[in-house]
Amino acid sequence: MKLKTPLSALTIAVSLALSSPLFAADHAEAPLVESDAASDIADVYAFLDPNDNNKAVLAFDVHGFIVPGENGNLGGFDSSVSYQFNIENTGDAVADKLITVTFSELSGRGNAQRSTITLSNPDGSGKVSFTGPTSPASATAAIAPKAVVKTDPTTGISFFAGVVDDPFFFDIPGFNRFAASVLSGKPDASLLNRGRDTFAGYNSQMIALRVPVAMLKGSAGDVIGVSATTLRNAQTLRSSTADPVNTGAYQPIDRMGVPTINTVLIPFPRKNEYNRASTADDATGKFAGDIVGTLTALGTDAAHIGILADVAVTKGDMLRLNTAVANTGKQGGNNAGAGFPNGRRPVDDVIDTVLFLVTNEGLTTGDSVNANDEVFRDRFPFFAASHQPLPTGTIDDNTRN
Amino acid sequence: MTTRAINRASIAILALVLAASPLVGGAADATRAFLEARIKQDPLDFTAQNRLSAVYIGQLRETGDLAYLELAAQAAKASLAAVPAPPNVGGLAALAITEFENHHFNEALQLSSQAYQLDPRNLSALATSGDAQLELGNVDEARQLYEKLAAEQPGSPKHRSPKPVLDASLPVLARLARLAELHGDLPQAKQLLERGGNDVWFKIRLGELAFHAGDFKTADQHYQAALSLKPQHFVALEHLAELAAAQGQYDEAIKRYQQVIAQTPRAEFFQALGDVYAFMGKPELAKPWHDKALAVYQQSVAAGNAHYLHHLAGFYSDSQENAEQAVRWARQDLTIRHSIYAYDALAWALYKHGDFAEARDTIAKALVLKTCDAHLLYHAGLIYSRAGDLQQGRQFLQQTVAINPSYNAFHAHR
Repeated sequence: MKLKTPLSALTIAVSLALSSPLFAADHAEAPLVESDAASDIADVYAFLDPNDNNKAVLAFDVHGFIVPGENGNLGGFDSSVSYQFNIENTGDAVADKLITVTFSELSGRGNAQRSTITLSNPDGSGKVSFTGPTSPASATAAIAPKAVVKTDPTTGISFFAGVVDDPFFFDIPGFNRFAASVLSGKPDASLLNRGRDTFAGYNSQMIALRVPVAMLKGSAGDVIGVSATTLRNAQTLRSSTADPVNTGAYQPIDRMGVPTINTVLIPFPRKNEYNRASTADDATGKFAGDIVGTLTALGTDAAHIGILADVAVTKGDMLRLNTAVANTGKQGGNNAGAGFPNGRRPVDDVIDTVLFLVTNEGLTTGDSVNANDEVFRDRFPFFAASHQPLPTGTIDDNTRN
Repeated sequence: MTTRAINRASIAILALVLAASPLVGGAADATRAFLEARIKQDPLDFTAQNRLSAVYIGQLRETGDLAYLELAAQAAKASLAAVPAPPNVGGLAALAITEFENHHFNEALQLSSQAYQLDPRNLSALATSGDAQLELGNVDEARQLYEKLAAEQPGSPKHRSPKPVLDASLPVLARLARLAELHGDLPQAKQLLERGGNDVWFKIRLGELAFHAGDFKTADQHYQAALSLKPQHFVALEHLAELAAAQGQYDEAIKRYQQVIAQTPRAEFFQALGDVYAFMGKPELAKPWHDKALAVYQQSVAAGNAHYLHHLAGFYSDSQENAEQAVRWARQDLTIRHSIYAYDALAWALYKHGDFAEARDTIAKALVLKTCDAHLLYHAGLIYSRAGDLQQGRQFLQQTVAINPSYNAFHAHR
């Protein structure tokens, strides 16, 4: 219905119209920038399958801190990211084999993505590929959907990709508060007594492979090096007026090998550079000064800096797995002396090991978080099923370890 | 339909809505509940506090409820109290966003710059720095930061075949469009916004561009598209309300504003509804809404908040004229930013106050970017004319009409 505007109203109307200004003045609330969680590597694992030591499990996860109500809600694995395992087998810091995993776009919630797993030499030659589905995730089901494992008959490689319980266990606030106390000259180890697992209750997106050890070994014999890299298509914005940008070559976004090296020891301002560098750069000592600097500030002595350098600098930031050391037991293996820093198994308390070394073997109780909040599976893919949303109102303090 | 069937149907609808836009409504509530429980158990968990702060900001954008801004700020502060930066760069970046939303632009710039300097991977901090620089009137600095953001932020897939092509991310497109708009390059602003695809925010901005050009039909199409993407979204509704009033459809405008106010009772919408009644020539109906708006604005500034300084200036210039008060609040707003719209507000208040020379010098500062905004130019036209420069004044008025033939239709204070 239209109203007839009386003449008197028109005057006011005009004067108001002439005056209302301030358009868009408070319109700066542009869309928020979110972190690139899809390419953010959380943890890397390398261990022998305890059920068959002729197979090695290589795994890494991205997109940590997924709340159960968001499972499968975040677009699955990013189809514009290349997820890459770097394998070294000649005893230096240079990768000798690559296994890359890429994903098709997620076509709808609850659907599987098509994954392409490709083995190749670093120069791209000698390519062998197979495909497999991702495991679907659910943000609503009370019990997580079953893990789907695809075994390629030609290569003998098994593949899993999907949302799992975040396997890491660590008290991040406790650690940071302890580190701050050390840096301020008043070390207070009691800050590590909380025993709260910051990762409890969250999920992450895991990519896991079980590979015949024979395919991984090289001239270095039984020892292989393993690290992970995520890469994205580089893009060039031609100019601010330009058409959509084309995709260019892949460029590295994140990398990880030995736990805590990138996350804790590389200073923030150097992390981008570190992520874009290679393990060969590590071996040239490119970041040695940064790591030594952080460790010295934390009071680590020369002998222990040497031990850590041996693990993560001299031959690059890679996990080193001696495939001749038997791995046995439940949850991906738990026999003494077979775990981190020999590779890394799900149950290995890597934070306690690193804290022990960083404190010159002074701190023997670590961060008081000694196991994952979920029991790991005894068979591939080993990582525990995703947490599912709890009924509304349920408070479950599962951060207590 | 049985209750169970209805439930199943609503779950199906909910699933569709969630599939279209993750992390809104139910999903955001579930995430929020999870994180709130987490920090209740462990207030020192700064990682959860940082994520919770972001969830609250998302809900602020979603609902317009300013209570979420306070919650977001509390979470960011609790985070930094537990673990300062460094290493808690995320806490700094979260606090920077809440300071920005609170119109503490200097503080937002300081915090976000510090965060980005500490950790160059924190692109949220980089974006906040650019946004703050823009409000502070440092447009070149803002452009540099946005270009850095464009280079650093992963693109979003535009299409994959025949050849995979990425486009700049939505946050980048939004900011580049804003720069183009400020520089008066409306075709480019439109082109950049069109690349935002089916995103509510982009649809509304496209609608605004059309509205400001007097193209009500196109504006309506964009706003309706936004509303169908996100039914009942308060921003889409208030733009449709404004559009209805501009077209003289007052009943529709009032109905829409009441709809907005029912779900998002914010003072600027009280003012807008009052403005509609005033526009209709019904001051007695306008007054209670204007009074209601003013009470909230005054309460806000009395509590030391900067959020409504700009609105107060506009309110006193146009809604309940009091030129002295208008100048006072416009000057106060200029102590926290030097955006062209802050200068415009002061210039207009000074004009109302009869200080034509100072008004002219001030509006000149609002025109430095050559922004193609009919309302700026209309102010400039009147101000220059009254300040004695009739030729320049006439030129600005001609530009005004050329940009927006409906420049004198109703529009809301924002």
